[in-house]
Amino acid sequence: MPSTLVDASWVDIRTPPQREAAGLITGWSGAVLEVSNLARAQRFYHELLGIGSEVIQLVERAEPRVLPDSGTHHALRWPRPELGAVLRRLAEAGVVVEACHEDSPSEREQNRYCTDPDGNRIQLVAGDTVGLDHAAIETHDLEWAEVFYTHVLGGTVEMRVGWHMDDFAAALAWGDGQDDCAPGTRRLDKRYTSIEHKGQLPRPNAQVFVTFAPGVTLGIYLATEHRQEPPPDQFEGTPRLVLEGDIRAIEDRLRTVRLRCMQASPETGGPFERRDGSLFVRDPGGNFLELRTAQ
Amino acid sequence: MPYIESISHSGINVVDLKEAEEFYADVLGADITNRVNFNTDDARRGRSVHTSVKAADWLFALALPKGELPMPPPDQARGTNGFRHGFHVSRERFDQVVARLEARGVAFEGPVQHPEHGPFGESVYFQDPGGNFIEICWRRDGVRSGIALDVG
Repeated sequence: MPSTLVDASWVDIRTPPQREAAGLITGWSGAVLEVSNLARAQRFYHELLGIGSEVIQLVERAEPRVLPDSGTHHALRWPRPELGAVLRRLAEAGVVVEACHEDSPSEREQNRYCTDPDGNRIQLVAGDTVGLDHAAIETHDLEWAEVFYTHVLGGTVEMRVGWHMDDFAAALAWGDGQDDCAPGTRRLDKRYTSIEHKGQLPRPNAQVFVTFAPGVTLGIYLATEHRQEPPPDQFEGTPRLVLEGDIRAIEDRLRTVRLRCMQASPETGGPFERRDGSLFVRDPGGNFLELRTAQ
Repeated sequence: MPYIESISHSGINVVDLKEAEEFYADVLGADITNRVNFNTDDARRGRSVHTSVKAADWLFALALPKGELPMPPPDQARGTNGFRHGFHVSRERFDQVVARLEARGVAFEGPVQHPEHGPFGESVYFQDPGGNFIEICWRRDGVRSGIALDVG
């Protein structure tokens, strides 16, 4: 029987919250990043950062998909003494570590960012263990992304930016050059008025932070530029984020809880494919995910 | 002649879009029709950030002000000099609205009894989460909209 005949329920922004999928994703496994020179990138991640391929896997591409000016970033974590050593090695190697901040209260403190040799943006944070602390992606439609990551994958929205008056007031300080905000957190919008020409209007760039399990958070930033996305029927690709969880239950969600904006694979009946025990998923913004069974 | 043809919408300020959407949906039975500027097309065009909610045939654009929003005292139920948006419900639904306001803990004034021989039966007055003043009333003459309006 063709699996596309699966009995699906359709969700969108009007669907009331449901908690059936809560807890299906349990943790970060790592990420796959694209780089232009594998040896150079390996030196950066392995020798300077001390991060192995079990956390950041590198693939070589002639034109790597890297978005340094967007909200997209990967936050890597070290116990505090090790983080100090990493920062010293970066300084010795001449890698610029910038202090800028995102909008959650904790990230006023965790405010160190650098880029790898290809421009992949890395946040450097202190924590209990070495690994991927969190990641942020961008998407062209924040509402569909929220529907996908909450209704299908079971996350809860932990924080919103750009939905509250105070966020708009805060963006004015950034517009005046008095607030060092991380890329992707603010933007300049065209101003529509006939009264006076004021050029551009500083605004918060809309963001939603989704938490899947305690400490397992994905930042979703609105893309401020139109970008080429992979085709809607490509489910496995790079760069991608790797998450752990109950993949049998997640597969069931992907087949039965559907978004009109997402195409299903004819093989699986959902927006994913299977390979080597993993699920490969394309989200509604063209971001790739890999879901693995928790170790 | 410069006749206006219809009401298009009201743009009103709120503090928090999510909170305001929920209030309008729950208290007024409004539909969230769309959010503007949560996709890249809107952002590139620099459209205003707002949520459109449809309360019966009235479109509200819930908009976020850029900075401070002066809020009236929380116990003020009617707008200064009577400034407000007034909505009509049937006599039967009026009691449901009052019950809903009570259940949500919304501070309201009323039900206020209007003069017996006038068109209005009763009204309640309250603030939305953005400090905008709302009236809900039922009319003895059953007129649903502002046509043949006698605000008394």
